Amino acid sequence: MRKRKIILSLILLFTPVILDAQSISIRVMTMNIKEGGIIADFNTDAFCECIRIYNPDFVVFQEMDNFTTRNGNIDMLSEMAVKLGMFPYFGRAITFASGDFGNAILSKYPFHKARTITSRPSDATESRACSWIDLTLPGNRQVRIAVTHLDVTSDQNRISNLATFNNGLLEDTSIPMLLMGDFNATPGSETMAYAFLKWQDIGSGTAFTIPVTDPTRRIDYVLGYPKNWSKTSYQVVSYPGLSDHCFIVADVQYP
Amino acid sequence: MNLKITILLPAIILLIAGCEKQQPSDDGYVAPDVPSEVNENNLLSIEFYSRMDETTLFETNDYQSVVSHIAANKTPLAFLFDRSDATIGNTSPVVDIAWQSRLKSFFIQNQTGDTQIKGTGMIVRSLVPGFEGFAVTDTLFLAGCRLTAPLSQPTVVTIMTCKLTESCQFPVLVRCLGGKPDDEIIIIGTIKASLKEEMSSYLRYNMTDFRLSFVDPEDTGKSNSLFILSSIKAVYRESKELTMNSFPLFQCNIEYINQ
Repeated sequence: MRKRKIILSLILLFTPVILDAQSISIRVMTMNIKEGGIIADFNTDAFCECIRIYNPDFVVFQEMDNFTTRNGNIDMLSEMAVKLGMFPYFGRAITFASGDFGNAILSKYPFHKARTITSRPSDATESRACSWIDLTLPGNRQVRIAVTHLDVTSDQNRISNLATFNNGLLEDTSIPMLLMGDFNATPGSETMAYAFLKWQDIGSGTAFTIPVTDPTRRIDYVLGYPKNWSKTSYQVVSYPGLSDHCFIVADVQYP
Repeated sequence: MNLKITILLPAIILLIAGCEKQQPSDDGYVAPDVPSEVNENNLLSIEFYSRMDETTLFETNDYQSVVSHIAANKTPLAFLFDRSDATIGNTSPVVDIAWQSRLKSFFIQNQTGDTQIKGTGMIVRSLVPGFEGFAVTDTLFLAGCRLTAPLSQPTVVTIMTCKLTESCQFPVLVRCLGGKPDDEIIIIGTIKASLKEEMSSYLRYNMTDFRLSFVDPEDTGKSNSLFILSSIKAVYRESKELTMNSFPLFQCNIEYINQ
């Protein structure tokens, strides 16, 4: 009888924790679309068709154009948002070709905060950006989804980019977050050694991501903070008609 | 034992005293007088679409008139769409209107949900550096865009919105604003008409450095009113209630006081 009471008490004690602790379980996709989608001739249908196959909760883009002369003065992101039934956020890294160039996010769920910060180390040729959204998922867990594309020239510049972005992203560490994109650095690089000080390489040991055909290097990542994310699936998928990078589709969970 | 009583007793008394509802010692906060003359160069315009009740704004996809109206009206700094509810996985009317108008859209939810999410869409003219927000799940979602208003001198303002349907949201709103709205903040949203007096009273005793105005719809049968809550830097001046096809809207003029 006493034993039963103890078990009952323990169940009651932990019930609120169990009820509250609905884990985060989301599907994310990261796509470097190469110069605003130039390989696909800026055709949003081609990208949407690819995205629909995987039905992600979030898609993060690098090298997105916004109303540039290069892409025919269109808002590709909003067009894809309309076609996919998602919510868009564009973060400018630089002004370019009479428009903007940078990162972007499509979210299946509305977000309540979005921000873009830029970093331009003194010897870098251009600004790099990190954009993120904060949102409340069904089940009432909050999550931050971030995207970046780091400098292409040197580890020093990339680390400088990351230091700036860490300051912004980790200012509020109360919610779990994912930082995804093209880091222009392989896992053994100084850049990634610096990144892994704070961030978890959720796709550690997974396939190369560039070039899109017969890839030889892994430079696109899905990173997590804090470091207790897990993956149930992590695919590196190749669409040579869309980009020079492979895309990543990952099912990730946070307890 | 005596030592414990010496330490604990005053602590308990302080705790109880701290928990007691503060009684107003005066008439509460009163905003400074509004400048009598309107500075036309410092007026910013916001269009707020709302049926002023709890029905959905876009019952069908027939919102071409809104697209045309936005294209023809370059004055408003922001367009807000109360109850432009979203269905997860379906095209949001506000995202579509923004895309067709070549503008940028945001969505401020009123609640969380698996499939249907009530909320207010927001369309702005340019890329915004920040979409600021607070989410106190199941109580209050307050969010909006930080943008530069082309006034007599370019002025950064944060146009935010939220929906007030219960009095328990007032303390949360005050907490989100840190007890006083920042200079740049202008919040425009709907409030259940029966809560207006309570909101005025609550804010008067729990917030400082703010201005609060209400706009009632011409149809007295409607359940909601519009509220404009801002820092003392912004003054609500006037609004016009219009209907564009089947979409009712309020054109609100707000003056920003630079000095």
